[in-house]
Amino acid sequence: MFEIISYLGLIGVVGFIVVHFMVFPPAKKGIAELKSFPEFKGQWWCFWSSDLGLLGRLDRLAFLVALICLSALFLTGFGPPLLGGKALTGFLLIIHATAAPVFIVCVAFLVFNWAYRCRFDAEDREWLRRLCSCRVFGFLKESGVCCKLAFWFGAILCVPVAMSIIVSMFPIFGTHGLETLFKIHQYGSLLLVLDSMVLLYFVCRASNCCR
Amino acid sequence: MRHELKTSPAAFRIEAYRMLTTFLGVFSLSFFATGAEVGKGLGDGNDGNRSGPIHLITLYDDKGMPIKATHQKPRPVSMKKTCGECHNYEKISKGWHFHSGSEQPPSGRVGEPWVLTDSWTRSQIPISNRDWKGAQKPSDLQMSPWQVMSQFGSHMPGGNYGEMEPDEDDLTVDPAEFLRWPISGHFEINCLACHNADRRQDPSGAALQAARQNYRWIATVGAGLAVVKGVSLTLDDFYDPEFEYKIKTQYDKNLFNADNKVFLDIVRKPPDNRCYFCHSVQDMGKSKEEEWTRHEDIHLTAGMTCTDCHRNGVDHMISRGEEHPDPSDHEKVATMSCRGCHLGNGAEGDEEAHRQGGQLGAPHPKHAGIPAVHFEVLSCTACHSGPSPKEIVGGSSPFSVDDIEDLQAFVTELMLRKNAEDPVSMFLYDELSDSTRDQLEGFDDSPSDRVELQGSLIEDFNRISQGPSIYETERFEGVTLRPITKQLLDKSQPGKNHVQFNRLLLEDAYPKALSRYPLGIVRTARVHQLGLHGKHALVRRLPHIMSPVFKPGEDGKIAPHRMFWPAYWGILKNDEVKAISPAYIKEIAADALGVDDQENQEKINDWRPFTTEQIAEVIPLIKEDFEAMDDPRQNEEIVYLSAGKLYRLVDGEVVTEEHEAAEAYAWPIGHDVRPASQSLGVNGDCRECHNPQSNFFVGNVGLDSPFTGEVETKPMVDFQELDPAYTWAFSFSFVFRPIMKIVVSVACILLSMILIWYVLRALGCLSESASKKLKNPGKGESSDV
Repeated sequence: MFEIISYLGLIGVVGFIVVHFMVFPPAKKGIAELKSFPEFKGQWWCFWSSDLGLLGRLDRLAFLVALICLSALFLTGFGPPLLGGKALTGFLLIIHATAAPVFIVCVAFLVFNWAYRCRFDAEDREWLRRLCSCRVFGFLKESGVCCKLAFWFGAILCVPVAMSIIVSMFPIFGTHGLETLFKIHQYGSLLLVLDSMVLLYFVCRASNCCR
Repeated sequence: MRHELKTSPAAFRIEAYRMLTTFLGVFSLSFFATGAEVGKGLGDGNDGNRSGPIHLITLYDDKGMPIKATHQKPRPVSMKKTCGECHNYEKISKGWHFHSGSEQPPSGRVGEPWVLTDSWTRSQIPISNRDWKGAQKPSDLQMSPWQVMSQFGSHMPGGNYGEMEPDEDDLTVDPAEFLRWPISGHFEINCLACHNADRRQDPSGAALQAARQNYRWIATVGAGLAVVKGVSLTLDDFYDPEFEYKIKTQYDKNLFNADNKVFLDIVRKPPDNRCYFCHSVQDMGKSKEEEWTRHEDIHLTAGMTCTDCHRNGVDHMISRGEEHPDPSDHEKVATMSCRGCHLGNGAEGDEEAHRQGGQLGAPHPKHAGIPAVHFEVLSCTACHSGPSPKEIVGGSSPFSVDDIEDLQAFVTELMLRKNAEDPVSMFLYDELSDSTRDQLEGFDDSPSDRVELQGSLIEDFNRISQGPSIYETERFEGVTLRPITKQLLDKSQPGKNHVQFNRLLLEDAYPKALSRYPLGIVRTARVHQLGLHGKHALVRRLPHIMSPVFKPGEDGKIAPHRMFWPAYWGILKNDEVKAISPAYIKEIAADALGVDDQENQEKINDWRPFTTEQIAEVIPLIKEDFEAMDDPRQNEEIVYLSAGKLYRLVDGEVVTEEHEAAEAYAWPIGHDVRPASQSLGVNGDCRECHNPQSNFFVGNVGLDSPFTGEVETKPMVDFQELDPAYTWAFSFSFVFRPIMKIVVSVACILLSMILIWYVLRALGCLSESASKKLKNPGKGESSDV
C-alpha cells in the first residue's frame, strides 16, 4: 500500500509541477529575484562568498547540507521499499540513520532563520480570500504564498517524522504503537518529500516569495 | 547376484504358492469379515456433541478378522482395518506425517530431514523426499521404501514408506525385498502412537519391533495390547507367515471384555508426550545431571498443548505455525502462528490473523523500545525461541563418560606429567577431589575401577570447567592451543562462565585422551533415535547438529536454525551433487576407509579421523567399480563433500573448493519459546545484539568435519548474508545512539517552539483583526503574522 501511495504521490507532485510550470510560466528573466531569500540570487550555493556574513554562510551551508541529507534520506528510505519491496537494512540504514539527525538539526536552524521572513502578512490575505472562495486557480498563481505554505507545512511535518522514530527507541509504546509510529514516519516522510519538492520548485521560480 | 534371486524358479514358485494360499484364505474368510470399507469415515465428523466418543471397540487383524482373546494363534492388530472401520484411512494417509514418500509431496517450509549417517564412510546425509534445499531424495541414493523403513523406522508413525510394497514387476527392487515384505508385513499408520492417551503406550517398544522388522506388530506392541515374541529380521527369506507361527502374539486377555471388545483411551488431540517421542531435542550443552534445569517451552509450561497450535482436520494436514500458510487454509489457520495468536488487533489489522484478534487470550507483546523494522527483518523466534545466541556453536560441551577415550592412557599420562611437574597436570591433580585422587593412585584397570574412576573424573572435570577460567599463561605455556581456544582466550573475562573455554583448554592439554566434542550442539529424537530404552538404546552423536545458528529463513527473516554440515560421497553433475549410498562406499573401499566390522558402529557413531589422502584413495576405487559394473555414472566426476567444501581429485591431487552443494543444511527452530523476560532485547536493551561483541552476529559456528587438525569456524554473520563491516559499523553506531536521541529531540523541541510561537502570533493577529473589525467594520487591517 505504501509503495502504491508513494508512487502516486511522486507522480502527482511531479505532474503538478510540470502542469504548473506550463500554465504559469516564470517571468522572462528566468529564475526571478527572491526578496526573502536574497542569497538565492545568482550563485546561491556559494556559501563561502565574501559578501556574506557568518550567519549567512551558515544559512547557505545548512540549506545545502539539508538538501543533500534529504536526498540521501529519500533515496535510502524510499529506495528499498519502492524498488525491491524490502525493508531498509544494511549500509543504507546506516546512511539513513546518519543523515537523519544532521537533517533535522539543519532544518531546525533554517526554520529558526527563515520563520520570520516566511510569516504571512497583510499582502497574503488575498490567497485566503481566494482559497475560501474556491478560486484555487488564482491561488496557485501566487508562488510566494505557495512557497510560504510549503515552508510551514514542511516545518510542521519534520516534528512527527523525526519524533516518531526517536520515540520508538524508548520503551514507551507496544507492538501496535510501534507499528503506528513507523507508519507515521513513513507517510510523514512521504509528505515531507513531496512538500520539499513543491517548496524547491516555488523557491526557484518565485519572484515575490517572502519578505 | 541380486537379480538372480528375483528371477530364480524357486522364488517364483514360492511367490505363486503364497499368492494362491493368500487368495484362498482371504476368499474363505471374507464371509465373516466386517471389513474396513463398511462405514468408512463414520467417526470423522462431529455430531455436535463435544464430548469424545468412547472407543470400546473390536480389534481387527490385517485380514479383517475380529481378534478374540480366545484365539490360539491370533494375528496382530491392523490399524487400517480397526480404525479404518470408522475413519477414512485413505484420507488420513495423505496427511503431513504420512505422505512424504509419495510422488511430489508438498514441501512447505524446510524442516528436519532424516539423516543417514555412517562414521566409517564419514557420511551424514540429509534425506527427504520433499523439495527441501540440500536434502537428498531416497531415490537419489537408490533407497527403496523398505530400506528407508529399515533405517528410520524407529521414529516413523507408519503408513507412507511402510505401505509402499513394490510392484512385482519392478525390476529396480532388490528381489530379497519381495520376500521380506510378507514376513514383516506392512507398517500401517500407527494411529495409537499419537491418539492413545493410555500411559502404557510404549513408543520405545514399538521402535524395537521396527528394529526387528516386525512391522505388522508395531501398533499392537506399542499400545501394550500384546506381548510379541519373535524377530522377523532373523527369519529365513522363505518363511511363510500364512502357515508358520514363529512370531507369537500373546494378547493381554484382561483387556478384552465378554464381547471381545477392548477399551482404547483414544483422544482427538494427542497428548504432548506422544509428540515428544519424535519431536524432542536434547541440548548437549547440559550434562545429564543438569537435565532437571532445562526449561520447557513457555506455552507448555503455561498449560497449553502441542495440538493447541498444531491442529488438523481428518486430512491430518497439521498446521505448522507458518505465518503465511497455504492461501486455501489461510483463514482457518491464520491465528495458529506466533503473530496470529499474539498480535491480533481486531478489525484494524491489515492481516487476516490480526483481524481475527488472536486466540486463546494470548498476551499482546509490548516490544517496548524495539523499532518496528525488527518485525520486518526478524522472525518472532529470533528473539523468543531456542537457546540464546552462543559464543560458539559447534565447540564442545560438558564432559560425559564417553569423552575419556582411553582411561588407562589418560591416567598414565596424567600421573607421568604430574610427576614431571607439568603445570597443567599438577593443577588438574590438585583440583581433583580427594576420593578421585585415591582412585587414581590405586587404579588397576579392573572393570569396577574403570566405572568408578570414570564417573569421578567426569564429575570433577565438569566442576572444574564450570568454575572460573583455569587459564594462566605459565600454566598453559607448553600446551598448543587450537585457534578457537585462542579466540576465546581473547574474550576471556574474569567472573564470566568459562565452561566452554575451560573444556577446550583441557581438551588441548590432553588431546589424545579427551575427545573433542562439539559445543552448542543438540541431538534430536528422530535424527539420533533418542528415546529407545534397554538393549536397543543408542548413543548416536552424528550428525553434529548445531544450534542456534541465526540465519535468514525462506521468508528472508533472520531466525534461529538448527544446522549441520552434510558430508558424503557423491556424483558431481551440472553443478549438483547426488549422494552415493554409504553402504556401497563401505563395501568397495573398506580398507581405504579403515572399516573395522568388529566395532559396533551404533555405539561409536561419531566422526572418525579422516585425511585427504584417504579421499585420494577412495575416489579411484569408486570409479573403478563403476567401470567394472558398467554403471551409467562411470563418466561422472566423483567427489566428497564436507563442512561446506567440495573435495575433487585432479591429476591425483585432492583439490578443495567451496561449493553450494556442500552448504549447511538448516531448518528453523520454532520451540522452545522462552518467557518474555528472557527474550533478546527485552526492555529495549539494544546493546544485547547491537554491540560489536554480540554473539548474535559474531558468534562462531564450527565447520564440523571428520578431518583431523585445526577446528575451523565461521562467524554467524556469514550465514546472515550480511556484510561483517556493516554489522560492526551498525553495532558501533549504538555508542552514539543516546547522543543522537538527545540531538534530534532538542532540534524537534526547538522546531516545535518556533511553530508554537508563530501559531500563537497568528492567533493574536486574527484576534486583533477581529477586534478592529468590530470597532471599524470594513476597515480592519491586520499586521504581519
